[in-house]
Amino acid sequence: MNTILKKIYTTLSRICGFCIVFSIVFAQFSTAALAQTNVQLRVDGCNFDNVCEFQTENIVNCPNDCTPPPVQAGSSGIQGAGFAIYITDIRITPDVTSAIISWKTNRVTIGTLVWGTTKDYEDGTVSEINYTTNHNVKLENLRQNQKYYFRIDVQDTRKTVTSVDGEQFSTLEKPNYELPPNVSHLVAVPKKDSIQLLWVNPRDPDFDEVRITKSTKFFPQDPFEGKIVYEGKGNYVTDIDVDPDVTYYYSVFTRNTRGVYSSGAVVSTRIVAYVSPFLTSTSTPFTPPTSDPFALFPKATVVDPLLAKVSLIDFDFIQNSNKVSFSESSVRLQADVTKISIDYAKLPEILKTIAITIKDPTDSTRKFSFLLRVNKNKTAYEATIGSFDIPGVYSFEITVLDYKNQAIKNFQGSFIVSPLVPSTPQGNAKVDLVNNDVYIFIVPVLILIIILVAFALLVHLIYRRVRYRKKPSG
Amino acid sequence: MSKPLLILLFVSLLGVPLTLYGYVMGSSNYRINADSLNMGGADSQSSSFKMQDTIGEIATGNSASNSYKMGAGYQQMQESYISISSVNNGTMSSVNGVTGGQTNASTTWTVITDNAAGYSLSIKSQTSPALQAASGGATFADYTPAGADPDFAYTYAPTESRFGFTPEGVDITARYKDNGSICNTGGLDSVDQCWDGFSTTNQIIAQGATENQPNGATTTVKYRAAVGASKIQDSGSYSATIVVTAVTL
Repeated sequence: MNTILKKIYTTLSRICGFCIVFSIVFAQFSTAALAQTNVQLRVDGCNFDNVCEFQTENIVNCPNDCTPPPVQAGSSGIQGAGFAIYITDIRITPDVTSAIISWKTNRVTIGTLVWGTTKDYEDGTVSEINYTTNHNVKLENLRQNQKYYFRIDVQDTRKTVTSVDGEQFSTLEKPNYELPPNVSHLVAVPKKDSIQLLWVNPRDPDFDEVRITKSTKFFPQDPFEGKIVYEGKGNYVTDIDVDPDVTYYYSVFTRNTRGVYSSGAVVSTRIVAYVSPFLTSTSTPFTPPTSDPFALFPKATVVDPLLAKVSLIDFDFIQNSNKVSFSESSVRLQADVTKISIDYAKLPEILKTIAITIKDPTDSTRKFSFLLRVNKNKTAYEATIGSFDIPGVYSFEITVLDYKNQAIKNFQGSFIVSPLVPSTPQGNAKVDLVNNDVYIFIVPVLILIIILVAFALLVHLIYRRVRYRKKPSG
Repeated sequence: MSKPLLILLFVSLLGVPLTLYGYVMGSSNYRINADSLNMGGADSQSSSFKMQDTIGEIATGNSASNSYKMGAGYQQMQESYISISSVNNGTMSSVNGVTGGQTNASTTWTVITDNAAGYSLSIKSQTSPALQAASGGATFADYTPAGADPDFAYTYAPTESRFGFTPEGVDITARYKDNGSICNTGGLDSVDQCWDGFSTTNQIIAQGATENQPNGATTTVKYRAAVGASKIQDSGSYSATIVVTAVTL
C-alpha cells in the first residue's frame, strides 16, 4: 500500500504541481442584515395658524386658534393682529417674609414674575410651568417690612407676551410677642390697716405702665384676673382696701407700648389684727407674714408622670437671646435681664402655676417671686426678670403648682451672677436700678438726719440765748 | 482496481469537500459544519488570532449554474447566513397636542441565522430627534432615562413631549431586562417596561449565542410617544425612520 501511495503522490506532483495551494482562513466572519421601518404618528390639536379649522380644531383642543377676542375694559392687553391677552384681577397677600400674588388671564398662558426692591426687579424670578388662566405664585425669603416692586409677563401658546409693570406691595412687620420684663424688688409691707407695695420698674424702653391685681385665693394669673389695685407708671402703692388676718395675693404686671403684659411678679402678705396689750392670752396668736408665697403649700407626694420627669435641666435661662448652659444646679449669669423658660410640652396640660422665687444674697429673708406664663404661641412658659443688682450668689427655687394634686414640686438652684460687661446697654440699666434703690431707701434717711441736725442746731441756739440773757442779771 | 481509477478516486476525494448538507457529520453532542480532506494542515492560535491552514487542495473555487451555487475548496462553508424580517405595526393612534396623552406602536423583528456563534441586533434612528413633523420643524424629544439604565416606567413631565422605545423578546440584552422594578438588573422581561431613547448611533438591543434556523428569534420593539398636559405640541403628521441591523458574531 505504501508503494501505491508513493506512486500516487509522485504522479500527482508531476501532474498538478502548479495547483498545490496554501489556504489560510481566519475563523471570524461577520455578516450583516439591515432593515428599517417607519413609525407614524398624527398629532391632533392646534396648528397655531390663528384660524379655527372646522372639524379638527375647537376651543378645547385649540384655544389658541378658537378663542374669540374678549371685549374687556380696564385691563392690560395687546391689541392688534391675533387675539389680545389681558391680565386682570391682580391680588397680593403679603406676609412677613413671603407674599402670594395671583392674577387671571383671559386665555391660557404661562406666567413669569420678576421682583425686587427697585423697578430693576433684581431680587428674583419665578415662572409657572403650566398653561392656565388662574395664576398664583408665592415669593419667599423676602425681607420684613420692605417695599417690593414686581412685573408680570405672560406668554400664550403662540408665544405672544403681555406684561404688567410697576406693581408693588410691602411685606409685614414681624410681630413681637416677647414678654416684657417684670418689675423687680417687689415687696409688700403690711401696715396697721393697709398694705404698701413697692417695686422698681424695668428699664425697658418699651415700658408703658404696671397693673397690679389682687386676690384673696391665689395669685392672679394674668392682668385681667382679680381686682385691680393700681395702674400707672409709679413704683409704689398703698392698698387700704384690706382686712386684718386675710392673706392678699398680689400680681404685678408690666405692660409695654405694644400692649403686651409681662408674666407677673408676685407677692403676698396679710396684716395682723390689732392686739390690745390689755387682752389676755385668748387673742389670736401673731403669725408673721412670709415673703415666700408658696411656702405654705405641701410638697407633692403624688404628681403627674410628666411632671415627675421634669428636672431643673429642662428649664432654659436666656440672656441676650443666648441660652446659658449650666451644670448641676448652678447657673452662671451676668447682671442682666434674664428670661426663664420651659417647653410647654414638658408639663402636664392641666392648669398649673409655675413661679421662680429668688433670694436676696444680702438678706435671705427677702425673696422676690415671678410667675411664668404661657407665651402667645403656646410653646413655652416664660418669665423675664430685670437685671440683678449686684454680683453674687442668688439662691432660687422654681415652683410648679400641681392643681390636680393640690401640691407643689420644687427645683432648687443658684444663680452665680457676675458683673455685666460695661459696654452693653443693659449695664446702664443696672446703674439706674441702684439709683432707684438709693432714692427709695437712702434719701428719706438723709432727710431725717438733716432734720435732726437742724433741730439740734436750733436747741443749741436757744440754749445760748438763754445763757446770754441770764449773764447781765447775775 | 486499476491504477488510473485509484488516482481518480483519490483526487476526487481531495478536491471535493463534503458540503452537500448543512453539516458533514454530527451526533447528539456535536456537529461538524465543514470538513476537508487534504495533504496536510493544522489548527493553531495565538492570544489574538486563531488559524486553520491546509495544504494540498485541488479543484477549488466558486462555480454556479442556473440551479446551484458551489463553493469548492477549503472551508467554503464558513460563510454564514443571516436575515431580518419584520411585522410592522408602526402606526400610532393619534394624540392630542393640546390636552396631551400618550400612544404606542411596535415592530416585531425576526432574525434568522445559521451562525454557530449567534447574532446581535442593533437599533438606531435615522434622524435626531427621531420623531419629527413632516413640516414645520416640530419634534418629539428623544426619551432620556433618568440614569444610565433605561427607566423602568415611562415618565414625562407635563411640559414636554417624548418618544422612546423598549425591546422585548427572548434575546434582549441585559440592559433591557429587569427585576420587576429596576432595569439592567435581573432576568425579567416585564411588558412595557425599561424605556430608552433613540439616537443616530446603533444600540444593541438583542443578542443570540447560537444559530437559530429555521425559526429564528423575534424581538419586538415597542414605541411610545407622549405629550405632557401642559405641552402644546404642534398638530400634524410625524414620523420616525428606525433602522435595525443584525450582525453575525
